Amino acid sequence: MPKPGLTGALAQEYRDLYQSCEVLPQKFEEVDDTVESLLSNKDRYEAVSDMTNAPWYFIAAIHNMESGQDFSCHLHNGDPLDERTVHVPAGRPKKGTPPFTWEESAFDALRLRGVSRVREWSLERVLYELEGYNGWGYRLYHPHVLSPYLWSFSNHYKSGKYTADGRWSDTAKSKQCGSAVIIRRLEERGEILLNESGNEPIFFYSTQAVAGSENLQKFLNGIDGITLRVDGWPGKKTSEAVKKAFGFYLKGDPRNDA
Amino acid sequence: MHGCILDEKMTDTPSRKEDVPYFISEVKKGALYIEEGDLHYMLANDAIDYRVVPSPKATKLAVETMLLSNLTVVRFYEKREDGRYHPLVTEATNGIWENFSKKSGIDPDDLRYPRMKLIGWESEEKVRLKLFAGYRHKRVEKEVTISLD
Repeated sequence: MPKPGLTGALAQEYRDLYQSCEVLPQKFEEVDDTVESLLSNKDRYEAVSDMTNAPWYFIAAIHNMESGQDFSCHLHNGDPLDERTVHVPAGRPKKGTPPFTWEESAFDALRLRGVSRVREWSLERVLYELEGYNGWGYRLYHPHVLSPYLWSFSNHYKSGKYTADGRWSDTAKSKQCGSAVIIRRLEERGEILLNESGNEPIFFYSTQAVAGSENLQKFLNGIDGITLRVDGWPGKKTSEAVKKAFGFYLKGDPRNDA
Repeated sequence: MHGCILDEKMTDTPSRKEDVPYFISEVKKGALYIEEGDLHYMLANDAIDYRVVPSPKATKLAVETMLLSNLTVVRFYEKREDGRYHPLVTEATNGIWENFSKKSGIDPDDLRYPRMKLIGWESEEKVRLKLFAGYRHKRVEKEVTISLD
């Protein structure tokens, strides 16, 4: 199955859909119940986030879609955790010894699908990876329907889905809350903050030389009380200067987590 | 890569031996390829992943087909005169969940993350499946036998 690239047009589509996304009033309570339940297991999702670099809410949303937040089975396909998966994808996780923890299984499932290779998690990237995780069948073969994996329970989805037998139906309707809707609700509640790619920081903390960082250091040297060596290394001292000037360390500085 | 030899022994790294009939299934970028004798062809290309299990005499294939991450169906194929496997669609194979839902009084629209799981071949004509899904905050698990004749 071909995989669409995250083009500028697709990124804009995701931004527009997300910004105009509204939970259907009749589904509001169910969405909030789902969000509450996911939040109560945030620690577990964060543990997998540490292993994969994917945001915890991305993992939580997938867990809800794939198994209704069931921690007793493999994220890959719902097989029991006391042995490797038997069904497609079979023989997972390849490493380790059963029984597996849910976290071990989730790490393997996300790695298998390439999620751990993603370096930057903007809003557009989150939505693209969610749609891709589910598969591109909706976008490629039924483009008149926005994927319910993302938009079910919102103003962006009315009907149309693959039935349990794998046949397409224009009238069948998903009764699961879409993953983008969950994320949108998490953001509305102030639990997460998503960056659009255009709002990503230009400079990052690094222990190596990074092209263009000299410009940042020259700029900072223009601020009273800051004297930096212009060496192109946006490390500890540059990050401290950023903190002094703007109140936060460079993104990626471990002191942000302290 | 998923591969299997005619004795149904599933293996991740299929081996090819001289003078031994072989059958290999391989998944590349969402497409399922079959290699058998001199034939090498694509069987399907509309899913994320596949697991192929031949019937005891290899006249048929049952293929667990992950159409979406949360939707797996089992498709069937039969070998024809040209030596290739072709889709086998019958009344029994076409609405497995639909038939089960009718008998059980389940609203098929309420099924979440439905997955058909292949348990194994009972004979050349009968196959055992497990139907697995979430349903109204509970789980449905039901074994069924599908007759292909």
